[in-house]
Amino acid sequence: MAEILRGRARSRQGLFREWIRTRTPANSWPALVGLAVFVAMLGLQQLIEPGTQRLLTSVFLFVALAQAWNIIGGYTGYASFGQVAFFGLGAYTVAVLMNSYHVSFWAALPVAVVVGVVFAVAIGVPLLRLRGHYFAIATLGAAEGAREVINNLTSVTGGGGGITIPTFGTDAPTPYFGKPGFYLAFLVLAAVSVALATVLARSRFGYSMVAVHEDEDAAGAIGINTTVVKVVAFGVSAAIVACAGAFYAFQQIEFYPTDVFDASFTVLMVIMVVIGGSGSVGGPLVGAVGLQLLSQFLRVNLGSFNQLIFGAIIVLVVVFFPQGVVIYVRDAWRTRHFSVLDNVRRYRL
Amino acid sequence: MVAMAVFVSAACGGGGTTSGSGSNVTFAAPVSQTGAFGQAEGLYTLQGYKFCVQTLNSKGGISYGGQSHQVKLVIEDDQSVAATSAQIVDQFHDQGDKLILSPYGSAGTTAVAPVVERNAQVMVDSNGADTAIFSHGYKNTFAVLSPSSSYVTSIIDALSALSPAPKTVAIIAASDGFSQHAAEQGVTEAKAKGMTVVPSATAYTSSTKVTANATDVSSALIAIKGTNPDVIIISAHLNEAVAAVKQASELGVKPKDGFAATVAPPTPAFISALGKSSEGIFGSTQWVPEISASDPVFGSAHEFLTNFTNTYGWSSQQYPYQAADAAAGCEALALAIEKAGSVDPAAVRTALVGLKADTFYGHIEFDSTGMNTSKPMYVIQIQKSAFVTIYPSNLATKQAIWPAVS
Repeated sequence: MAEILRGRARSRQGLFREWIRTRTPANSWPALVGLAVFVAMLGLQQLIEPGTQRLLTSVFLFVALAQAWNIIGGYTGYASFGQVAFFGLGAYTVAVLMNSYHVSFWAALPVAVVVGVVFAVAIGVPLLRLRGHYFAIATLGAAEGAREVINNLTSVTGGGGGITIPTFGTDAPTPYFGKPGFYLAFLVLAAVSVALATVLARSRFGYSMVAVHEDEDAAGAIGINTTVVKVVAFGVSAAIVACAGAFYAFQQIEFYPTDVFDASFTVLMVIMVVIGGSGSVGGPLVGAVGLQLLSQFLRVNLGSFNQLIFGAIIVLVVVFFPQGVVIYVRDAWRTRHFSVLDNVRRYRL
Repeated sequence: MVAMAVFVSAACGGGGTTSGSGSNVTFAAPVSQTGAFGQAEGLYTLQGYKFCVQTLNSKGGISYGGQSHQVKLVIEDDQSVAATSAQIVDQFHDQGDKLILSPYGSAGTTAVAPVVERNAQVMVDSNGADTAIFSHGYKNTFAVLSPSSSYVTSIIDALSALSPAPKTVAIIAASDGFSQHAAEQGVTEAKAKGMTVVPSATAYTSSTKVTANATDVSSALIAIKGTNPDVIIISAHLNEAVAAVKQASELGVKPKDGFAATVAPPTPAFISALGKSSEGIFGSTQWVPEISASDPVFGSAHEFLTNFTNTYGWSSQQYPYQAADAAAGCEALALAIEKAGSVDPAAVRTALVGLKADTFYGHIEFDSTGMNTSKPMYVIQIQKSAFVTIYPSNLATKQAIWPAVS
């Protein structure tokens, strides 16, 4: 590990050449499958109704959010409960710029990402010195604080009265994407977040994140600047979430602070990663897709019991697959040992 | 069938005769069955929609094109999340459901309105009162209820009619758009009635503003404590109003004359949550059974109350007005279909634009923005765990207990 981490810096071109050289059928299939799924989803858009496009849009949104949480919470081991702050800031940055300054969405989008990253760095430098529950609670507080600031900056944000992005006629700085447009936008966002997580996981920086997660003191002792690793991971995570918030804001047109600073966004990100399997790329992907589709199915078919059943299923999955479904399947496939009870004993007893 | 024929004639000024049963008409609604509104406001809205559909069908359904059509209600739980309401309405569009009844609350209705517009659906809004919904030029959203601007002003008007009228009021307002706007209008009305708003006229935007759906409003109460207002008015929903009354007692914040609140007091859940502490509290409401109004479907306002409370097991002393809002929204949509002679959303929209109907809920007529501004609001006081109408005076069934706190 130390040798890897101390490895000499290589140019991007060199890294790419090495990546190409080391490709084999065995290690290329996830990327090929991912590419095939992406192309298939592009084709699928032509076959589905607009309402189903909107449902899938929310699935793609949560894929991106779960991947983002996994970078700081899964790989780095810092469970942030304040991710929704970046989401809300991204949403409000776009809304304020488009509403008050008539800035196009495409110009406002990078500003939203920068705002999210700057906020992450600003709170990350002091808060990432905390560990475990203390960090989780501190980030939760930061998100609540961010919401209240937005709520009270009435002259800029509209406060509790909400804000509207102009999407009609000549007032619209950018024509509304419509459901097909948002389907594509969120699909690309999800694909980029998965690709980014994949690249990070296999990079030197990714190993540094894992080292911080496994033993932060030991990571520091072998020369990793743990503060930089944590802050950068937090910033990358925030960038994805802020970008998602920006697209979400444009899609919603009109929203209130309570909508985009809703703590349930963060809770869902965490649950999706835990259910799927943290510290892996496939875990958040499967968790987000699975839980969003399950939630939709239960909501449509079970009426007022849907949340109860949804909660019960989450509890059961966490009890029987504490390491996450994807990691259970991966390990069980490798060992050809599929006993769920043995799995429970291994992780619980 | 006969009743429906009368209904058509009375409400729409004529119509064809019915000669048989036609296909079903579908009303689709995202309704909060779980989440923050699931146990109270969402439930009341759902019961109002169901009661309306059940009553319409029992009277022969909706008549147009020479046939009577039964109404089918399609609902989905929006989990009290505005974005989910919007997603559901998009899916209704996929299913061909173009006639939409609103979700509970301004946030959900705000999210749904642009979706309805883009999909060329048409929505009757029964429980989203924020005037902001109607400031964007949407053409396909129509609200039967009075707008948010009336909620606190009606309370101020009722208080000013009491003797002695309060001289100072404090206004606690939740951070959501509906509550803030209601408070803003209330401050203007209080000043017009010669009242002083404490700790300041803009406190509802700062020191006495509380987070929407919060269960801790102590900071606002502490800001009020030293100002000794005659009345504390809470511009918020159920959770905040219950918390304010409970925590005021715990913190020793006692207004000289009493409490008043929008939305929450005229709901059974408010009395359940507060018990005896709810006694004497004033509340603004969209509907009271004392109004002189009737229609061929539901009968008089009193008959609506009796039949609705019997159906769902509510006490006629504690009835959820949100259900009346919902039933009125549903009835307005039915009337528009009858008037249009079609379920085509464009034709129904045109019919809604010109609708002038006297119903159990009062007069329904939409202005150019889609609001029903002609309908007044009312004020009740909780007396012996019953809703007692005290304002306007011509509808009052009892004298207000005043001062409301001993």
